[in-house]
Amino acid sequence: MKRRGSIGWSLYLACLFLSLFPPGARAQSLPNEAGYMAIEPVSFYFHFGGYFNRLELKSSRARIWYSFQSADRNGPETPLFVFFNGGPGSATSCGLMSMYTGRYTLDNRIETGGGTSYIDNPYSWTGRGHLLYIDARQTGFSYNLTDSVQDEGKRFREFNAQNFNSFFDAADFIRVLLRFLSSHPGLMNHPVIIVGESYGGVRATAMLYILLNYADFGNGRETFQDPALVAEIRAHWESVFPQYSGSVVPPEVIVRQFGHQVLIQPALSFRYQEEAEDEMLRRPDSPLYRIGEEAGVPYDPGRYPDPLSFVSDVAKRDLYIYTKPLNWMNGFFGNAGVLLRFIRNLSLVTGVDAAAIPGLYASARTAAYRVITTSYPVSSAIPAVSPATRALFVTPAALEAPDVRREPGDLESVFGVLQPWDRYFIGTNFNANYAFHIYNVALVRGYDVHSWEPRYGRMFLKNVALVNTFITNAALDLVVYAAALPPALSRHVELLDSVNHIAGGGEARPGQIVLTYRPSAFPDLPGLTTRTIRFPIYEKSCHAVSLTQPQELFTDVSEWLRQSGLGER
Amino acid sequence: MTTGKRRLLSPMLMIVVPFVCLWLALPEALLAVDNEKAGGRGRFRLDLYGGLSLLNPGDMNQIVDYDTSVREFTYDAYFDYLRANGMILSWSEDGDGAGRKIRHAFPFGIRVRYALLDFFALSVGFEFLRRGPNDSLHVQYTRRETAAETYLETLDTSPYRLETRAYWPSVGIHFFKRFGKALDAEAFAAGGPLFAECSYESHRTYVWTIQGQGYAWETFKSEDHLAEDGSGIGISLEVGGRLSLPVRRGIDVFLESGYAYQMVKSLSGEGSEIKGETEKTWEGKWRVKSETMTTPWGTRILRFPTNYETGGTGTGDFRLDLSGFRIRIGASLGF
Repeated sequence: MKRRGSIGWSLYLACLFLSLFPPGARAQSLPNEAGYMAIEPVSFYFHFGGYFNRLELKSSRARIWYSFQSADRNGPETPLFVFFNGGPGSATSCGLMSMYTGRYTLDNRIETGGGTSYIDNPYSWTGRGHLLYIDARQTGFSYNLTDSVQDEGKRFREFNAQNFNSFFDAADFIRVLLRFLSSHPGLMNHPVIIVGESYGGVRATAMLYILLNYADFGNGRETFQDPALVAEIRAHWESVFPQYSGSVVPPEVIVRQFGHQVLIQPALSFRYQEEAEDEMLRRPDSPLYRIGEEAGVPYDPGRYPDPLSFVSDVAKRDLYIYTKPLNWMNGFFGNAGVLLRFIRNLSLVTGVDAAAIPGLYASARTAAYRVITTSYPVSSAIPAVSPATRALFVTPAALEAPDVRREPGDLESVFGVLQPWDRYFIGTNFNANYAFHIYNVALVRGYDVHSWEPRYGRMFLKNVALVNTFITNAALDLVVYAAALPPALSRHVELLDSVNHIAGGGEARPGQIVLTYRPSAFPDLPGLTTRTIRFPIYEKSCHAVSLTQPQELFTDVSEWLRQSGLGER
Repeated sequence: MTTGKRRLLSPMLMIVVPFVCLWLALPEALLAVDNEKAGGRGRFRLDLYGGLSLLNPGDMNQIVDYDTSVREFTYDAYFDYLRANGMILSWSEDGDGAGRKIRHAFPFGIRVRYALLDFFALSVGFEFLRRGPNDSLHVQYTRRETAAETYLETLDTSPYRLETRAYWPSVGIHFFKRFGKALDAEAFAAGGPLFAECSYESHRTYVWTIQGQGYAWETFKSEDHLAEDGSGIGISLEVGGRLSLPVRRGIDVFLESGYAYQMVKSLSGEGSEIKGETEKTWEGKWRVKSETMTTPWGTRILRFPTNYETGGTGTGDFRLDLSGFRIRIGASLGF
């Protein structure tokens, strides 16, 4: 009897203990992962509405780098944050992955001797969810493969619209994300939060727009048509929303999974953003007057017609953080890019044994290429684009130098010597960037798919109607001058009646953008009136907000998620 | 086209064979007309001829208009827009990108006549008509992007070909009268089924080259191939006149002229498209469709014929109209 009583008491205590944790909290934590997702050649096309006169393109094989960091606690609704930087052509690995989002981060004390090693991150976003970092095609660790890779002319033709345009770029990310979810059934239904920085705003916009309106990307309604992608998206919805099997899943349902986006200094309607910024920076209250005073060169809009050239060329200040000298912020990206070329750092940051990643070995990538010319000259001026774009995309040549370092522990000493046109890591791939902006047959043939086009602003405004949105307002960033975002959005008069920037509020870092839609804005979204975007101010932040104010950003995002329905679980 | 030809030959035989049988079965009394009544040149005559048909298959020729309009809209109008907005410095065009339409054809045929009276004859005949202008088109656009860089865009289309073929078994009636010693003048009418085919083929190569100081990079190249076929059965009616003159015993030469109404109102066939590495084939009914091309520099609504079922909207009927005036010369053998 006594023994039976003891067993009963023990079972009771065990049940009581287990009942303290909901089933989700008891779920097994997932292992970290890093490696490559294979993307096969994809046929897609652009059209103006005429079927036969379309621009049919076929992409190259790619191995897209991803790094998955498991959440501190895994529950059934633990969100998956999907991180990416911008450029286009810039890597996420030396960007958001290295800047106070994962468990390890580049330290941000660059002025006191920091910025040169990875440290524990006290504000790791793994406390809020799983993290998935993706390097865009040909950036960071991602690489393309092709036949006749030794032919420079062939490599030149590879950097064109078939591999680089804003829609296909978004399609790449969707493919990687959906294939990642498909290979992790336990995460298949989890909420996904898109986190994009800079040009990543365009990518996030295109991704969400494609996901929410997926059928139109295979039925001829949209300029970009990718039937294989639509089939892949449809298959994902079949798994997540089986009750809609055989029919088009409405966007109102899709946002149950893709209902949140965090945009860090995003390009969204970038032509309008630049126009608004240009106007604002010429006004008497512009920070350029203070910059001029500090630099000892008074700012005169008449004398310096391009405000950003005044900041960078005359005042010698960093456009990404105008209180700092030139190239201050890119120094962090450059440092991260150098550190990640060592296996010890790569393993530390990703949380996996990088030596076990097959796609890194030189023997596995004989058909790989990263750059056109082996010497990789860098132009200081991109022809036919504005000075602002030049400022955005031209970064120091050091970021893309060949990574032949011949030091113990560097990737080459572990994985082997690559062919001259291959690289283990590229922070910003200018060949890819040029392909997006300049040497792009889709643009040459008149398709308005360049990331400056107002179409992305319209797509963003439609997404926002259903997707909860958080946008940073970094006060010191002139590359994406966030203060210009509300007036830029207000230029979409075809969709909006008004845009109100509410600077005050009860939060530590207040700020909201209230959009009032025209009744006829989107006929398929009846009843749409107003939407509010969280738009907190970061007074001390550069373009990379997670670098300069990591605690504040993490706190604000966590609170915003809690308020918008994704609380602590 | 193999399928289309098979499709036509079978009904043609079905039509021709009964004609021949009917003719062979005509009562002897009806055929009892002596040579004098037949103009002194024999009751039976075999006509062999060739000639020229003036025609304008408008729906089919729209393909040329459509291709030309698309090129002018997506190149010329686009460059005008870029130039007007200061996005390029200048542009120019060299070459001719317009393909030829079908305006005429060269029919040839055979006809057997039997004179029932000295002013009247019946005939059965078979005519074949084909026209397929085969073009090789070249256009080069030069646009100066910046002071330092020029884009060359070349469009080579070869072959560019519209083709129509028609087979026409007919029965006819002929009223003739002799003037002077030898010259016969005649009025005739003929009719029968019209078996017609049409096809379109274009193979286009696009090359974009960037030229700068000391370099010329072939940046992008693509090849497209489009072929569409159609066949159908319609009706043919012809009225005309003829002058014939004997050149030696039993042999006349003649000159005919007339107007033929030749219309096929329903055609269907195969189609295929190769764009880069993407291939597609289909089979469908020809229709005239419209599509709205919406671009940053404007909107244009274009009509185009195709047998691709799912392309375009606002479908309308496609008619292969081979009607027109025609003139023939030939030889007629009496026996």
